[in-house]
This record gives sequence, C-alpha cells and structure tokens, in this order.
Amino acid sequence: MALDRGELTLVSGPTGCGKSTFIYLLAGLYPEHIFGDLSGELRVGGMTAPAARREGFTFYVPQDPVNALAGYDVYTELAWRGSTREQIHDVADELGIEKLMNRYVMQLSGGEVQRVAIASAILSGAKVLMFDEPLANLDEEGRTDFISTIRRLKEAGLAVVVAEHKVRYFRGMVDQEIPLDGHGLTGTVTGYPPKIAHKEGDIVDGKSLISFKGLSYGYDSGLPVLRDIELDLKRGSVTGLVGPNGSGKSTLAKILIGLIRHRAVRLKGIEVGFSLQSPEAQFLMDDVISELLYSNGDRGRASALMDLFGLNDFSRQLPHALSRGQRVRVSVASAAMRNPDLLVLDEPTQGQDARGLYALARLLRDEASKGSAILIITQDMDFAGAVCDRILLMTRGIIAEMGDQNESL
Amino acid sequence: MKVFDYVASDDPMSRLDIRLKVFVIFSIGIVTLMKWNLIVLVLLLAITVLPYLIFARSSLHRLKWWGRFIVLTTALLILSQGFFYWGYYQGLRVDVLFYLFKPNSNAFINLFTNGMGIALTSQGLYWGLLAGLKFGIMALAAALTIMSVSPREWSSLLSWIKMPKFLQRLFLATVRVTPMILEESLYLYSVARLRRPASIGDRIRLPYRLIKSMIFITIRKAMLLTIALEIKGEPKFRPERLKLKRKDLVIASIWIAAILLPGLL
Repeated sequence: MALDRGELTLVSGPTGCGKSTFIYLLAGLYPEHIFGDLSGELRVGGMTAPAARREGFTFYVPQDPVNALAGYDVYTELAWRGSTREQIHDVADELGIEKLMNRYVMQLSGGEVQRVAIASAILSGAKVLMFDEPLANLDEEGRTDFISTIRRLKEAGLAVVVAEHKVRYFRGMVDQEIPLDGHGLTGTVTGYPPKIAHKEGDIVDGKSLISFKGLSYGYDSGLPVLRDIELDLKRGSVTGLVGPNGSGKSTLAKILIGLIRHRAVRLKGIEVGFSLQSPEAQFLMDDVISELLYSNGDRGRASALMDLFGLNDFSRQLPHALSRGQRVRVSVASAAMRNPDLLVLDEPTQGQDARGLYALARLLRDEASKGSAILIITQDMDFAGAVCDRILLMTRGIIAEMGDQNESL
Repeated sequence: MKVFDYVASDDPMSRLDIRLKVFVIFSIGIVTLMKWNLIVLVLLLAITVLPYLIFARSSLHRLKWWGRFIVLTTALLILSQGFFYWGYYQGLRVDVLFYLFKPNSNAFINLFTNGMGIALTSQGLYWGLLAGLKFGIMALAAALTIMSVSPREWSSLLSWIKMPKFLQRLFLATVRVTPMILEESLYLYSVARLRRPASIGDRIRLPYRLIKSMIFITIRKAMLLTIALEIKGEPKFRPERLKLKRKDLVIASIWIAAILLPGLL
C-alpha cells in the first residue's frame, strides 16, 4: 500500500482479522509493543515507522481511548502538544466537547472519551492520523461530526487511516480500502445486521418482569444523571435504549443489574445476565471456555454459544488478550450462560463484524423467545431497528421517546 | 474512582490556592498528632469538615466510602486498644472491665503477654477512640484535599516547589493511573459479586482470581498509557503560575486561627 497526503485509507475486515495490529505497525509501535516477526518494508514520511512516531509525524487513537488519554482533565489532554487556547476551543467546538473542557477524563462517558481522543489527535499536529474503530462509541451526531472533521483534515492535506467495521459512513470519501481477512489483503466486507423476524410460538409480549416509575439518580449531588425514569421490561421482549453520548444509558444499565443499588429496582428472585461497556473488567478466568462456565457449568450450552459467536478457535486463550470485538462476544456469551430472566447488554455491537452482529441478533431473539426480558444499549440504529421490539430514546437523563421500532426510528 | 477523584466545582474551597490548602491541612495534621483530648479532637474534626460543609457540598457526598472506612478503622482501633492497651502491660493502674484470659491462665497466651493475660480496659477503649479520631481527621483532611484539588493545580504546585521534572511526571502519572486502577478493581469486584460462580471451588478461588484479573487489567492499562505517552511525547504546555489572592489569604487565616484555637486548649 501507499499513503498520500490528503488521502483517506479505510482498513476493514472481520473481528480479530488484524486491523489493530496493522494500525499498530503503521503507528510505529513495533518492536516495543508488538511481539512477532516483521517482514517487508514500512516507511512513513521517508522514515521508519518508529522514527516517524518519535518525530511526531504520526498519531494514533486506539480502540479503547480512555486508557490512552494522558491528561487528567480534558483541557490538559488537548493542550498536551502545546496547542493554543484558540486552537483547542476551535476543535472542541467542532467536535461538540466545549462543555467537557474542565471535566476529569475518568468522569466521561465512553462516547465523550472517544470525542476527546479524536480532538487530541487533530491537535497533535501530526501529518498522518490513525484511528482504530473511532465510531464504536459515538452517537449519530458524533459520527457525523467525525466524518466532516475527516473531510476537513483531508482537505488540509493530512493522511488519515481508519480501521472500522461501519464502512458505510465513509462512502464517497475513501481513497483506498484495505480489506483484511486475517491472512492478508483479500476479500470485501459488509457490515449490516440481518433482519430477523419473530418465529411462530415466540413469546412476543409477555408479562412485565421489571417495572418502575420516578427513578432518579445522580453521582454528584445536584447533578442528576437520570431523571424521573419510567420503564417496564416485559418477558419475551427486546428493548433498545438509544441516545446521545453521556445521556445516562450506562448508568441506567448499572442500576438495572444491581451494580448501583436503587430502591426503585427490585431484583430479588430475578436471574440477571449482563455485559457492560468494558468487557475486560468482567473477566475472571484464564481462558474463554472457563469464563463461559464460570456461572453455569452446562458444557453443552457453552459449546453452542462458542459455535454461535465463532469463539472455538480461541477457547483456550486468555480473554484479556483477545481483540475488543472478541472480548465483547465472550462477555455476551457469558451473560447468556446464566439463562437470565433479564439480560442487559451495554454496547454489545462495538467491534462487531457482520458475523458478530448476526450471532448477537440470533442470541437476542432466542433468549427473548424463551421468555427473557432484554435491554440493549446501542448506538447502532440499524441493529436496533433489526432486532428490537421497541426502542427508547434517552436524552439528558430522561426517556424522551418510547415506541415500537418503526415509530421510534 | 469516587474515593480519589477530583470533583470539579466552582466553590471557595475548590478555588482556594493549593499552597494555602496544603499548609492548612498540614496544620490540622500537626495539631491532631499533638493533642490527646477528646473535645479538642472533636473540635478539630468539625474544623476540618465544616468549611467543606458550608462552601463545597459537592465534595461531601463522595465521603460515604471514607465514612465507612473511618468508622470501621476506628471500631478496630477501639477493639484492639481496648484489649491490648499498652498501659495495662506496662503495669499502670487501669480499670479492667473483664478478662478474656486471666493472668497466668493459659500457657500459650502467657508467651505473648508475659503472664498478664488479655483484659478489656476502659482506658484502652478511650485510647482507641482517640486514635480512631486522629486517624479519621487526617483521612478526612486528605480526602477532602484530594477531591478539591485538580491535577492541573497539583502540577502548578510541583513546579512552584521546583520539583525535578521527571519526579513531577512520575507523581502526575500516579495521580492519573491510581484512581483508574482502583476504579477498575472495585468494578471488577462488584461485577464478580453479581456474577456468582457456579461451583464452590470457584467461590473459594474468587479472591485469587480477582487479584489475578486486577494484575492483568493493571498491566494492560499501564501498557496502553505507556503507548499513549510515547505517541504524544513530552507535554509542551507549562503549568499555570500560582497567584496568591487576598480572598484566599483571608479564608486560610480564619481557618488556621480556628485550628490553633483548640490547639491552644
């Protein structure tokens, strides 16, 4: 491949095919951070990739940007490479993070962190910018902002490399696509979730499993994250929760699973399965199969889920060492192992290719047909439209819209 | 991590010059260490918390964890001092409430207590209460300072005292990473409790698994942060210069006067 000024290169391919490794190499993070054999020649701006990194010629935003923000608050992070106050405010305004400027990075939501990391890359002054799944945690507005920013950067003569599953957002602006299949540069990739209809005999609208009214919650006094929430989760129903970054969706998920205790939510006698936004923080076992068997020793069920999610090749691998998409799959499969009455999944579509999305959709419908109540939090409106029976829109801590999938979409 | 996080807030306590705040906290610490009087210590506790209660309520709701930690530690101190009061073993005159092991009643206990047995003494309970209060005051003072000082202010303070740059960076990296790792550890523990292992063996091995997972997570986070720092290179911004304001001096003077008052008692 060759990269030129003002060009956008899209690296696509299924989960675990090597997109992140490819970006790591381009970013010059070998040999210190990648163990393996490198063959061929890689030069960036006439230098070796590690030299280009050291010269500040390249800049890289990883999949999990919260760990990569070196600053403690948003302003420090953005000022890291000596940008002026005006430059910082211009970029912050462009990406809609002006109001986050004094926030501590640990207090940001997943999508807000992603926006800050993108702003940090733009302000770095590097000539080649690399983003690993930048759209994963962004809401629709954030995605639109990111795409227009990329367009502006291209016009300004910067080379941009993006590894992403959601290729349709980049339609019409990609100069070259590198589709990886795990064994080299081959094949094409599609990333659309399937439409799965209800089967005959499915429990479509069962009894209410959890319902509450007037739920409010805030981490800081005087700053409510959730306000007067009313929710009714029915057995046999898949409910999608969508909304802008930082609107309180993950907080609601944590309350629903009992991670944050709230007197309005009674979980006694309800088996809860969950997968949260950082799947690695749930892993306790040394390999994938043991992780699945942790809360239910049913090997048949574990084997079926491993098949469904394509995890058989990794069954003896350390879950922490998998790619993000694979870690999410392990976490979702572990949640399903519990045969839960209530299944709560926070951003289960992050890092998923077409196969992963299909498997996820299949699982959700199967669990719902067995009578589970399911809540999924997602930024993927296509997926929500294909799988959910109803969709709730949350903005600024309140549920603003509630309806069946067609009405809401 | 809600315990060690900075709470961004625009109140007089958060705006107070960091140098004055640190000086006040040190003063509280010194007076607390010097005094062994219950009323004085209760007054010092009030003086530590009251300014935050009046001006910086946003920090206080985060003190639930600290409250539990201090109550638990104080209870342990009262219990341990109650039963193992140094004065009893030094032969001072004490009021024994009851004997857990009477003197020379148990050969094994004799080995450790020089034949004195183990007795619950009222002086020991009082001593434990004072030690618990001292610990509580210092812990609260530290917690409230941590919550009301932004990392940017720490950075300015370190520059002001002319700390070598590599030590500054080490300190600030610790400020950045420690809450992150503590938060993940707490999160991992809470999630593990919710997941409930299927077998008894897994339940027994849970602490070991938690520690192992925490190590994995810590290494991974440290690695990612290292990569981020390598990619970003040296920070090019300069810490803001600290400027002492008259208003800050007035608040700090009143505060120090209030500390010295019980100190003189």
